[in-house]
Amino acid sequence: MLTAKEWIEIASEAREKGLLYLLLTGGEPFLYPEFEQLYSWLGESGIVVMLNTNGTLLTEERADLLLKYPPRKVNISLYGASEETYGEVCRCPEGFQKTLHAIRLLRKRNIPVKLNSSLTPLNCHDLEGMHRIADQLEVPLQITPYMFPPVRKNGIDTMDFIRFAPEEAAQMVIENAKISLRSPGLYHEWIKSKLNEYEKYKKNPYIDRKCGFSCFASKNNFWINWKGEMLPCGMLNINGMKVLEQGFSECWEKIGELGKNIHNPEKCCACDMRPLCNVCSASSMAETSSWDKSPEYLCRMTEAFMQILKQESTQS
Amino acid sequence: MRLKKEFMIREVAGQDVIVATGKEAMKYNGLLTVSPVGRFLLENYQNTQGIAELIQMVLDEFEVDRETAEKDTVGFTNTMLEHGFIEMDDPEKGW
Repeated sequence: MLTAKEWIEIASEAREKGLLYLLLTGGEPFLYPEFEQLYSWLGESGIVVMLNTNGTLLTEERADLLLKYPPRKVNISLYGASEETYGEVCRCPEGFQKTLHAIRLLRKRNIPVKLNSSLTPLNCHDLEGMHRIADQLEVPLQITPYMFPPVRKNGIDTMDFIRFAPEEAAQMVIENAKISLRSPGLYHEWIKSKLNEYEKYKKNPYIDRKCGFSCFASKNNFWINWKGEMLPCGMLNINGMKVLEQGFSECWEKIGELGKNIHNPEKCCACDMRPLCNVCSASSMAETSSWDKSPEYLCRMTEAFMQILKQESTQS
Repeated sequence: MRLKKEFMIREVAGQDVIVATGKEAMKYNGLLTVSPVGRFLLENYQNTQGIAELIQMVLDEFEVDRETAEKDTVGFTNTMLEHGFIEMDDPEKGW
């Protein structure tokens, strides 16, 4: 594990090269033993900081530290709407109340909060409940039914990995939209906008990238993992570059070159439904172990999503 | 007069931006871009004793006529004061 001094050394170099936005994530950032020292330095560095956390380790003292150096936003992971669901998903039923407490601590201090929830068969019954919590606490909620297959388990048995079948995941996108867009007319406007996006894209495809990440990875974005290794994307289980040994600049140059040379799936480059699809280079790698293979899961999910959109558009 | 310590000037992708830190980040959670003249003024408030001196520095540094230098320096300074980016060291002297 890197010391705070080492992280500060890396951050200083990155700042000199123009780093502006920084997301502290994990794992769980509040587990880091020197969090307060690192965060205080970042708070005075001119780097705009955001945090991903599950909130369960946020104390009054830490909330006051965040008040002293306000992050741009704190993204809190919400795993369900009850202790029972937290018990099922995280094996930690008490995590539910701790998470709500964290949200309240931050809201009391006017620190912007957004809730993120990965939807799975274990917590989808709490979808309405999670939206209710978000409404009551007056924070936005982003639901993601697509889950990457495990990429960072490093040999741990992943046979217990539970996610929706692709068609179910597509249906969950729709169920979520029905709940979050419940003002009259809004849901059907959303259906229409999705179909319009598809029709517009068909006429003038804007993604013609045979090479290079389809996102900002390695272009203006990088990750550094807990071992101090730089990667274009944190969802990639590939060898990273050791920043403390090679220096930030050299690592940044190298991942830029890596990014330019990856090949995207031909099928994805030619696909009309590209704007409706969650595919990216990291998901291709995670799902197929290859940059240039289209992930069958996402093909099925998008095809199912498209079908549902067309069915729903006849209902309006 | 000086730029408040909670504001940092950073160069990002060739553009000068002001980033708010600490308590100012609660008020300003965006970024403010500044021109080269704006950056020059922000960096030199603390090195001058008054607006006249600052205007002269602008004239020495940039190719601009006096009228423009005066108008821009006074206008920029008023805006920065109004929005709380800069503060006076000696309010009685107005600087």
